Amino acid sequence: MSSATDRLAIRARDLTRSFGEVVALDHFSLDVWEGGIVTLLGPSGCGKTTALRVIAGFESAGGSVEIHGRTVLDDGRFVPPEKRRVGMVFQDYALFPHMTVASNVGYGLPKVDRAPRVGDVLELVGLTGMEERMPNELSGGQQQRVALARALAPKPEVILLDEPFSNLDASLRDRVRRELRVILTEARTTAVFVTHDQEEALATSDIVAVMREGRVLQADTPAHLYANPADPWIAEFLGDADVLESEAGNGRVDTLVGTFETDLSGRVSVIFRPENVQISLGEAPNAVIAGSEFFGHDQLVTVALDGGTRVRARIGPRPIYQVGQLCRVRATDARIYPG
Amino acid sequence: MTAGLATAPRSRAGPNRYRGGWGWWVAAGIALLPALIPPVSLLIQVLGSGTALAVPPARLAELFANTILLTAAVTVTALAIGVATAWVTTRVDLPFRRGWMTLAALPLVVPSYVAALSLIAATGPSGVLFEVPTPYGFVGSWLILSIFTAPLAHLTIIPGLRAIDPATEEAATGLGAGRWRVFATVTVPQLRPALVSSGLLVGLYTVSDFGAVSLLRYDTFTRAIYTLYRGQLDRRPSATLSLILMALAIVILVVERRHRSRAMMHSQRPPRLRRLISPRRSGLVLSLGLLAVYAFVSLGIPIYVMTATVMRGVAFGQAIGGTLATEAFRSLALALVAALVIAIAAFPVAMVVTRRPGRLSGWVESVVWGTYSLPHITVGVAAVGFALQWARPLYQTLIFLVIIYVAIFLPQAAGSIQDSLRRASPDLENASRGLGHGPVATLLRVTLPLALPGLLAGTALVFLSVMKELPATLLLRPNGFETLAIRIWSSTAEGFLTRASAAGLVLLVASIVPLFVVMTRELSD
Amino acid sequence: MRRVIALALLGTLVLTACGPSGADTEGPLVVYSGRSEELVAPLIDRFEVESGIETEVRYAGSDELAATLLAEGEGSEADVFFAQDPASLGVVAEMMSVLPDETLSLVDQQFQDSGGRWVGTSGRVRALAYNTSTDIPLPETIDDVLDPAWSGQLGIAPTNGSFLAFVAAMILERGEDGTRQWLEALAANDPVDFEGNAPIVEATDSGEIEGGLVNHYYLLRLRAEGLGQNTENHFIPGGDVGSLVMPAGVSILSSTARPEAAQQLVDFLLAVGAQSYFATDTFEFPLIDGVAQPEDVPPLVEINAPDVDLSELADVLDLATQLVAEAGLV
Repeated sequence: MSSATDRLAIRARDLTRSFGEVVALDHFSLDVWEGGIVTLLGPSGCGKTTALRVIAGFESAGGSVEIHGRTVLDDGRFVPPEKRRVGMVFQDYALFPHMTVASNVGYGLPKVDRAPRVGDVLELVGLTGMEERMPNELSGGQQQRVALARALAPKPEVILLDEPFSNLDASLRDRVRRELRVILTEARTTAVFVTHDQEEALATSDIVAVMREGRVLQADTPAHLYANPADPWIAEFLGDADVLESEAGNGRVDTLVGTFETDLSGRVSVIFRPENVQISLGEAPNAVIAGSEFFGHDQLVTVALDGGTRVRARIGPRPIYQVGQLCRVRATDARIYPG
Repeated sequence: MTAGLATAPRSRAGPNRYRGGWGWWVAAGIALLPALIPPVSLLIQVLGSGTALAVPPARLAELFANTILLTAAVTVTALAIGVATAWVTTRVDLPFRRGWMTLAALPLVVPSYVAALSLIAATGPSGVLFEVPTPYGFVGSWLILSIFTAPLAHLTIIPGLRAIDPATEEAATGLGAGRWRVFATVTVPQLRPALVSSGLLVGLYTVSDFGAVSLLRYDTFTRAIYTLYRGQLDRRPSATLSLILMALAIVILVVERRHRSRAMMHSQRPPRLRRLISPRRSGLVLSLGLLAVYAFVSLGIPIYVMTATVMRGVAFGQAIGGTLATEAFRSLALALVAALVIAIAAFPVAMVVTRRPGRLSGWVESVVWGTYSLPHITVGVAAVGFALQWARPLYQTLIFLVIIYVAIFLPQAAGSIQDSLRRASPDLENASRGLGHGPVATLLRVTLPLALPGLLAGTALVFLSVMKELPATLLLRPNGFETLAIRIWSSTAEGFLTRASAAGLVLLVASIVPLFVVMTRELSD
Repeated sequence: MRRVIALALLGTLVLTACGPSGADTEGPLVVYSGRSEELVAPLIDRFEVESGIETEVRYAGSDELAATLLAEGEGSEADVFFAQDPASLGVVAEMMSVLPDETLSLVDQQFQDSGGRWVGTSGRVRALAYNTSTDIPLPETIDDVLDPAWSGQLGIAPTNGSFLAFVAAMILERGEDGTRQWLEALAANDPVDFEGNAPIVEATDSGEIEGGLVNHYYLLRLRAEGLGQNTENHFIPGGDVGSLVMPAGVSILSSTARPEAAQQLVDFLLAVGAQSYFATDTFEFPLIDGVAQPEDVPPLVEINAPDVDLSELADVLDLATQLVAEAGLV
């Protein structure tokens, strides 16, 4: 993903910012390599939008920000947003309501040769022919694409996107997401997304940075992050997970669904992902089917273990279990955390 | 999830349409009735006794040209001043920001003839401030009217500024636009409805003004009309000219409607709370300087002149007048009641114009703005005639006076409310109805709060205008009911300068507190 | 928003409290006064105290009140009309009752209506207020103000009732053509327009103009305010309308419900107390015998007033207004 020959597109260090009593950023740090797609993922209020705005220059903060090696924020410096050459797509698009699509998209371009570039960019986002429409005449998806086109038109080296898909319906969302990734990769544009939707983050990014209460807890590729969450909270935030408490010792820990190796001792939390939990009939039962959700391509089956704890298993569309059936539940992999 | 726009593209024809009942039309019709009194009286007069042109056509053309010139010039400068003061007090983090915001609105309460008198006293051969020749004629009229009608723009533009989504300005900045380009290409265009309302308010007020142009000797249409009312029992010439004036106003209004922006500026969500700009030293100096200069010119000079007069007079044994307190109470009470009544009356008119645009609402607008442009003496005389003929028990009562204030000042409130309503998507009201709330509940819980900034701005405007109103009040008030405005006029005419100035000072002081109250929180945050 | 509503409700309470004082069995004596409250209110207060008659006054311009009375007709609530000038009184003379001889005999014939429907209460004289440092020779007749020396320096108030009454008197004296000629000559001499008499005197005093045609007492009013040191009154000696004496006057409506009370007010205005008040407090000439003349002005008998029947002023008032407009003065 990154190597010594790649440059850092964005380098944010120790960003700290409060609004009154609320701490929005608490020593937030992030490195974004050129051409990479990074997503800031976290629950509402974790400061991810603020971080984005600080990078863009709409907010100030303590700490420092460098963009392509140029210091734009520092103790002594603050480069205003219009000078940073960073494109931004706002959560509610912020299209200029009084301008046509063409005027909106062309706003950041010099007057000369504006029209051809506008045409190119509109074609890129699939809105050819909409130049003379007004924003209020467009659907949500179209507006989002205009906002994207507007940000891309001046060919920025860095583009920031604040929850750009949250206003779209599900099917449109997936399609636009994929198309956007293709566009960004082709243009070799560095992109930083902000979202609270972990599926989106895992699917679109090269790196996902999980944020909580103003700081980055863990930043890694989606696969690594998913498989190796640094603490239970991240594990639960990133995907479905169930927890069993147990005692560890002698290099292992026993649970109702299996035994796992661990170096920890004492009380531990054992975290399972549903895709690592299996259900079988015919062996000595240790659980009862409590319910299931059918998704077409898979099912999420909830079982109740002895003692009442519930664990979920993700299995294929067949077999369909009945509530109350006795079964055996086994986990093939787990992460173990102290406490 | 946010309440965004619908996912299907709409036609251009009527995205503002809203499935409201005919209740609004009925209410608007009732609110409209007072405004019908003057034009209908005039028409009856003219149809009954014919027209008469006491002024030769050549002179008429000259008066016409003078009026148009003054109106255009004043509109441009008053708007410029009003936009500047509104922007600075809404966007920049200044010390005593709300105080400055109120101060910038206060000059509206100064009657134009008092302002003109201050100018005359401050200048001239023995002027108290500047020994320059008094700028009579066009220059003086233009100066005084611009300075003292700027608050009309200031108060109308503040809600407009607040409703702009800050994200659009940030987006422009992010795309490389500097401060001025953002202002010119993103802020001002989104202010367009407020700018148009302000322009109409200022322009048509200038058309109807008499006080300043008479003292400063600039011959306008309205001045001719007032003259025709003096010492003349034949009302035909004044009625004729008044109708011509009203026609002019309606033409202006029709032109404006043609060019009304087709961009619907609905916010997709309530704009994120905007934080104020923390200015650098130069910005702070510039902002405070602008506000201070304006306050000095619009309030400082008149206050200085009036105070000097009072002090000199008192030194010579003149009394200030013991009736000032009663008159102050009366003025305040009348103005507050009228402001509330007019705001209520303006609401259905604004709803009908924004939510049901079309030919019928066009007529509504024409009547309302047309009457606004009439000289107040025309309205007063028509009202007296109407009351004597059809509503004798109401004659010379406060109720009727307030009704006539509705006729005169409705657009001041309606314009602001319209701007606020235009910003709010009718989908919000539809959503409320869809969730099971009836029309009244929707009105109270959705529509009213949406229109609140405009409602408050309009209330402030009307309050100040009623405080200083003179010609109609003189004609319609109950015997013995004197207001501060009447006191000022009467004392000035008879040379009781001390009493006039004292009353003027009381007028200013009495207006500050209610104005500040009306302008708090909802307007300034 | 709630605060605004609260304030407005408070306002309504105050308004209803300040409203007209409600049902008196007889109702107050209603006076329409074209004379300003500043001048008249102390007198009315004194009248109320002395006579015990409750009085309600409507203050406005004399011409406006005349028009209002005409519009109100017989149903008018007014009992007494106290006006600034004879023209306004004349306009509504037909609505007025004839005053008793005892009243009319108190005042000189020329200061009352020939039909006895109004009587003068105090004298006001047309004068030329001039700046004492002026070089322009003071006029001997009214035609002297047409002299080119006054070009651009003479203040007039062409919409003011007193000026119109002055023009109306000129019509009675010289006829329509003579007046038209005079007015056109005046217009050609570039007079300076003002809204009323007080501004003319103020402008003269400040040096903006050299002089203007006003009523005599405005200067004295100004002096009471601490100004007026640079100005003097000049009473045109030529015996023409330049020094026209226009009495303020009072009349009783024939439709009044309270004729005795109205008569008491008229008597009061012509009694020594009120007449002295006019002399000392409003600087006007008393019209009954035995009252001291105002200070700083020559006695009324020395002013060479023209011989004009004031009762006829109202008849030519419309014409006067028309001639003024035609001359381009307004």
